[in-house]
Amino acid sequence: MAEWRPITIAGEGNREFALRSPMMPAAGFLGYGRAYPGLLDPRLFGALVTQATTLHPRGARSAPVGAGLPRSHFARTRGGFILPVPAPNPGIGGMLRLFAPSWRRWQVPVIVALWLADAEEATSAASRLEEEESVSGVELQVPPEAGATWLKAVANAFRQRSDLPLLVKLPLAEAAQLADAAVASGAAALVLGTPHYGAQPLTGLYGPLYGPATLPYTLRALQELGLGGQLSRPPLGSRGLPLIASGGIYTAEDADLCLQSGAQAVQLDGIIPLDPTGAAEIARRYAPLTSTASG
Amino acid sequence: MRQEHCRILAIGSVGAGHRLLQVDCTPLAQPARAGQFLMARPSADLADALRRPLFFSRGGHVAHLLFPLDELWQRELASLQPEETLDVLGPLGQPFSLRPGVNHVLVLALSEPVAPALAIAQCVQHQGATASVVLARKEWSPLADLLPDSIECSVAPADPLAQLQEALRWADQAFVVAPADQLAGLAAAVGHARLRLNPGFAQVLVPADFACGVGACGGCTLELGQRQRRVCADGPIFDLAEVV
Repeated sequence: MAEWRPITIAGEGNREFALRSPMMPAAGFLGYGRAYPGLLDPRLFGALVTQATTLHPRGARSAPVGAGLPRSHFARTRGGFILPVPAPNPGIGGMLRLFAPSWRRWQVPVIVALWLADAEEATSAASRLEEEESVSGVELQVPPEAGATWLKAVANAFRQRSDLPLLVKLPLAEAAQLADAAVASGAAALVLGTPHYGAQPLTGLYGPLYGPATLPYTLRALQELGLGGQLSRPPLGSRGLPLIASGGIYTAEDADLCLQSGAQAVQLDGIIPLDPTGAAEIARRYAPLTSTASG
Repeated sequence: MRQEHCRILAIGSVGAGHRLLQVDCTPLAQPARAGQFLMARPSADLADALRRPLFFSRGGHVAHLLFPLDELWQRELASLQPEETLDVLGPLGQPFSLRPGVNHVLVLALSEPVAPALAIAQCVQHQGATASVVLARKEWSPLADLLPDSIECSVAPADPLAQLQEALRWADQAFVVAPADQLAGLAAAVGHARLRLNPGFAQVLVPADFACGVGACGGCTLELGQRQRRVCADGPIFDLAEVV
């Protein structure tokens, strides 16, 4: 087990929260916390990261006309799966109405993963989330095509309205290019990151390709950003802004490797639906407490 | 909900197209209710990076899981041997519920999965009502043998629409496995036979593939009855009156 000390994720104002474990679920893999009752207690984690949530409710398409199964919002691939973001979700208002009462009882930091279209949406989202005491931070999902200009505009708009710590989840394919923009925008931590996008033309699906093969990309991003690599600015990670590894972490050894490679925390993704008990065992190695969450 | 390695007691063919897995589900502690499913991991390697939904054709501690041999994972599952174990998560999903006072239930499978139709017919009989089963496809004929003789079962009727209309008149309740794009037609058939579609009369199982099976990922969400429904967690069994 890698040596690990509790860390604090701090925004630019007075808001901060402590991670008592380096383990978190990645956005989209534990829903809003109640997905695996009795199997995967959200309080096993240092923080709960929610499903990527949009400002307004986002629906699914109607049942298609034609024979066979309805088209799913995911695609199975050999050794992985494509899970497009954002998935259908209740929007920020619906999310708070449905889940915040549980969050207030759970005593675990809640990081709301946000999928935002533009700076205007960021302003509205910040106003809504500021009002909810159980929200400890926000994880901004940066689409691979977004670019530094979008990132700065959205992050700055959010921060002008809220001093909640703003974590920025970068696409692994563009992490090195976007890291400076994230830091300049006041990111409280960088999450490395969203897996490379893949497509399945037959179903029209396009989105992050999850699976264990993602891990080397995550380690590469950690290497580039955590240890300075080829970048001209000071390194991040253990000597600066927290880095959170996410993508392809399927075993305790994977998690340890990320922590030893400059990450201060890790997020579990595809291992959760594949083996929730195994994910709980990984989390339990660093778990702050083991009492059961309910409701 | 539990995740356990359940022991395979037997595996056999049901006709050319299906396999029946008998599994000791005692470790799951909570017996599956008719219409529920498991998320199974047929192989421990990571080539298949998501679990697969498997439906019960009979619940209880020695549960029967019936599946077609359409896809590679199903053929791999069929190659498991007695005494091997199967990693399962469950039981999951909203079960079928028999309304109080119901005497006769029409059970109709228009598509896969057929397993829950068989489970529900047996559940209905176990609760003191009678079930009449209609399997829409000729190739499902061997599946009728999985039902006790006391349950009437017809396979691929010559005039399925006429039989459906007739059955809908005398049934007190109906359960149908029907793809989402057939729900409107089904509702119209019920309305035609019974003048109107009353809430609670017909429950439908909407087939879908599931990524997580627990409602976490949104991968199976469909707009049904002008509402967003996670088929795995809000269903897969719905009241027909609520989803059309």
